[in-house]
Amino acid sequence: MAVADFQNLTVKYGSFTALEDFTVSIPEGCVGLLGPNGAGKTTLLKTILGFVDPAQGGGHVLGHDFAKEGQMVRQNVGYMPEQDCHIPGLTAVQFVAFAGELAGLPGNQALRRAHEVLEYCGLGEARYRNVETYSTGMKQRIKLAQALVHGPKLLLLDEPTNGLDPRGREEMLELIRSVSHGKGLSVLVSSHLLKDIERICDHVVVLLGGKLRAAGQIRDLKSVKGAPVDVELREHNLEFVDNIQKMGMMVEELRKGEYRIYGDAKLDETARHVFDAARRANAQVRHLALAQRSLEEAFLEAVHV
Amino acid sequence: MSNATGPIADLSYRTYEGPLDPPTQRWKVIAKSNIMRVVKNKWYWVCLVASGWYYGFMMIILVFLDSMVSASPGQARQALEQLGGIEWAMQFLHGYSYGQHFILFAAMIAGTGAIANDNRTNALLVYLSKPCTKRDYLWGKWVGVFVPVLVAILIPALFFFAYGAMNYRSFGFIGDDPWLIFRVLAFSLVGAGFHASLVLGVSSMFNQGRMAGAAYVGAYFILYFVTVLIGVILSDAHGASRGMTSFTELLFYCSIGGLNMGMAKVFLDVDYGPIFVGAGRGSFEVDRPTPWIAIGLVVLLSALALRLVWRRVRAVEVVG
Repeated sequence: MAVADFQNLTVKYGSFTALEDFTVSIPEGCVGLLGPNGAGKTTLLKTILGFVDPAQGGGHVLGHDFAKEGQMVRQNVGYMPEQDCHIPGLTAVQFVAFAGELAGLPGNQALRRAHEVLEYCGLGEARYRNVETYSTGMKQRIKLAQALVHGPKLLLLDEPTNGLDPRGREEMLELIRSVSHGKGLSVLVSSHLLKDIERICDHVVVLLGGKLRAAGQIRDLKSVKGAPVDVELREHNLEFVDNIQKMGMMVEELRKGEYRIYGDAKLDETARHVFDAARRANAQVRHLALAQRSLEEAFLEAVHV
Repeated sequence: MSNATGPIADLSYRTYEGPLDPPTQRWKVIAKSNIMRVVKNKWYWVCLVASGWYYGFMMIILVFLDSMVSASPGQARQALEQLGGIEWAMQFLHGYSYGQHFILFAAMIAGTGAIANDNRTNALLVYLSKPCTKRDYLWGKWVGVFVPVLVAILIPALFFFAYGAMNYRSFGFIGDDPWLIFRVLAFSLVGAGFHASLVLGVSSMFNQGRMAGAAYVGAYFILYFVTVLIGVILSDAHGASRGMTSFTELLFYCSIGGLNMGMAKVFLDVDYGPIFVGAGRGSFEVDRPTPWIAIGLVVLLSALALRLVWRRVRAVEVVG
């Protein structure tokens, strides 16, 4: 089931077109919004929230038209912006409780919930500190906490690992992965960091210059045409290559002892052929897997760079 | 040993399934937050007390006259004449006039940071990403500034009114003008609304509360002194010793403070005051402005300020 779908969405800032004829369906789970700076990722998130009005087209988020039912959309959506943001002069627990009250939680519930999400986001010890004294990593966490406080069904995260050190980045990715799997919460993560997206997302939407370039499961995007297998032998073996070719399959040597084998058969049949050829050539197979590109290769192909 | 079985001990994420307040209540959360911020500021209370200094001074005078009546029969007649001659509505005008600067500071404390500080910390991204509209935000902020300013204007006036109503009914405190309490309420409400609208307009133009405060105070005092100065110079040039030309009277009301006084005069239905000191030529008094012009200007300026806020409050920078 789709948590969001967009039809021919066009968004303009004056004469500049930030999103053009954008049509895509965002499935449940953790979805990455990939693209270089200026691709239109943040604009898409801000359009969902009603910060900018579409020039053409529209769409639905969690069953609500975001152009007409903005308040209903925002009731069910949590937003973690890219920029630092907080309510001035408040401690973390006051800030998150206030964000909860803004979302409609009664005061006592908002306070209880603020304590819960601050604990969950790893800010339990610092909850009574003024947010303005927080480090960059803590500010990222509190942005996540305020986005989660009202129990949204969809979380919009804009560059969540921006400015974080490697450890902070790992912890943030782990938090996002944890919240987006098995908690009944879908996540749309905007980032230009492929490794981050690859680590936490199941699906990806690739944007460039405001246009959709690719969309689908990461597994599918990384797959290589023809479903070849990658084989690693203990050492280079010409007889193995001969045997494979005699079986009617094509072999491409990737590195010394590593081959990519293209066959018409199904994966398990190809694997059987590979082991058969290796046995006859007295070669030791150390690794066999369905060949995949890196997400970076898939991304570069999608954006034609 | 107790087991940690409370909800806080479970650190896994759970969604919220509890009750929600209706969307129409969101402005109250914003207003309450601003009011709480203001009441925690001790300088606001200092301004509130100081804005009523004239009423306090008058109460001391009245107590003194009372004591003269009871202590010295010889001076009683003179004291009774003094009490009977007091124009009570005028005392509220003087109270408002002499407390104006403290009310200005109270408005600054309540309002200059209300939007400017939100601009600085990108707080609008938090407000507007929640199910809370721009209208909720502005209305909440306006009420959050209006209420503290109203309290700063109204509480000293009501205190004086209560004191007068309890002790000086026989000297015409209520008898002279049965509508006095409503007049006091009216100028307090309009004055607080005027300050709240203007201060929010200024606040929305800055990213620092202090800068917005400096701009508001600057606009307040510079306009006030320039208009008064030109008025004095023109009055001297005309050689007027009492009464002024209509132009210089109009000029007096061309500042935030002047307009506030004009509005108060209209609501209190008093003709003169405050005293307008000329350069070495004694004092002048400025006539009450035409009611519809004074109230119209207050409403127009408030509307323009709120229009400015409406245009400037947005969660994204839109380039043209």
